[in-house]
Amino acid sequence: MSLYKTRGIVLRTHKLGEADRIVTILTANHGKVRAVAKGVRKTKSKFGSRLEPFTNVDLVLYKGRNLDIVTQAEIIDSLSEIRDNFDRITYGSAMLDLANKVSVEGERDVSLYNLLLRALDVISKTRKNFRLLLIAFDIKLMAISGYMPKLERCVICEKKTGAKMRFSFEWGGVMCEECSIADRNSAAVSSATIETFTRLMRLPLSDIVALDVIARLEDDLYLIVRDYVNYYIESKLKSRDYLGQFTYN
Amino acid sequence: MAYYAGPVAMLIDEFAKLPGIGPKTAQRLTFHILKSSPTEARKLARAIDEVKDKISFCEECFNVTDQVRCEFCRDANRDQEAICVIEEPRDIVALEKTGEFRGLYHVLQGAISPIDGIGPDDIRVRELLKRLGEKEIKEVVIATNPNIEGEATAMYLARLIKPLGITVTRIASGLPVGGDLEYADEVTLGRALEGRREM
Ligand SMILES: [Zn+2]
Ligand SMILES: [Zn+2]
Repeated sequence: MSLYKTRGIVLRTHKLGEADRIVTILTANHGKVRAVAKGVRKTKSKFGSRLEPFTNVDLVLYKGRNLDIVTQAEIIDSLSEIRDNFDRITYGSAMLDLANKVSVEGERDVSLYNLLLRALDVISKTRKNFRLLLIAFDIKLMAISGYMPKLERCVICEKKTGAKMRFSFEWGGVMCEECSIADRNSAAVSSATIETFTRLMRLPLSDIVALDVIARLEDDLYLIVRDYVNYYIESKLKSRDYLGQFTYN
Repeated sequence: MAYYAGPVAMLIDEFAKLPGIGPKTAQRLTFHILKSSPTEARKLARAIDEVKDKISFCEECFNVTDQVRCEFCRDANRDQEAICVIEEPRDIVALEKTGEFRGLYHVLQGAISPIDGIGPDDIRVRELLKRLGEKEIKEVVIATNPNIEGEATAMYLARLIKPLGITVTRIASGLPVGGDLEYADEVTLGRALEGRREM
């Protein structure tokens, strides 16, 4: 009973002691798992690259009292194309960071695992639209977590919103001008931004790579979605704060 | 946790702040020191004192040194046209053992880590650019660790430095991914240096 098998994506690793690492994995069946990988930092380790972030692995774990222990690891997909490109690493890491934040240890969440796997697969093949993919990933993650934003009608009075509207993080959707007194922290948003928002929500991630969105709209949407995510996770993600520092054109 | 007398609790707390040390190990270390002889314990205290008093970072390359500039930066016999970029001072030890590199070093004191929010401004990138602007450097060899952070750092630096007309090389991928540079044996590391490729 103390050994179990599972498949998962390595989210991050931390150094432990001299040569070990604590590996955080998003599994399909056991939610988030934190496990010790012994000796991985030694260059002759049998695990080597198998437990690097972004890798999708089949694992055999020993159930420990506090942390589990990795006894076997086989690569399903190393997604190594992500490591070959700086933007892929940067935006891929931002996805790993959010998945790490929302996943819960021992709580099965197949849709989160599938979403992350699909998003990483798409990002490993693209050379553009990195930020748009991240925005779409965030939106889809919020949707599967039960926070699908309401974008068609005012969240309060259900009327069609006019040209002037606001986005309420608290109510999770758009508000008409009259109702916006209900939430002083709502943000002004254009109908064009909401249109793009809706498109990203509906389109599969693989189609977003080919999308052509006006830079200003993407900027607006990025901020709205970032703040929406922050509102629900009740904190800020370090990986997002630094996105500006990493990108340069 | 049990209640310990003030100084004991304080020492446990201090140990627990060190990297890789949890509360249990911190307790174990503390009780080890309680049991050891006063001379042994004072030796440790003095060693910590001295390292903070006498050792600082080389103002040129950020290696550790007991002088203003480290031994490598002071050595005029080293190749002044090549800089090898590494994450930590201890990586210099590993590279020197190979005998393959005779140039200068630059210690970044970390690596870019997007997931931790550690960006180029948090490590010694600006200082590297400054050196490249002041010296006649022909090649920058990037020897960051073969893991995500090391690769991200290497790619960032290549994009930044190549436009300056300087050759940027990365030590060969013969090094196993996920391993730390400091643990690589000198034969493997020497081969990786020899087989470095232009980025
Ligand atoms: Zn309304
Ligand atoms: Zn120096």
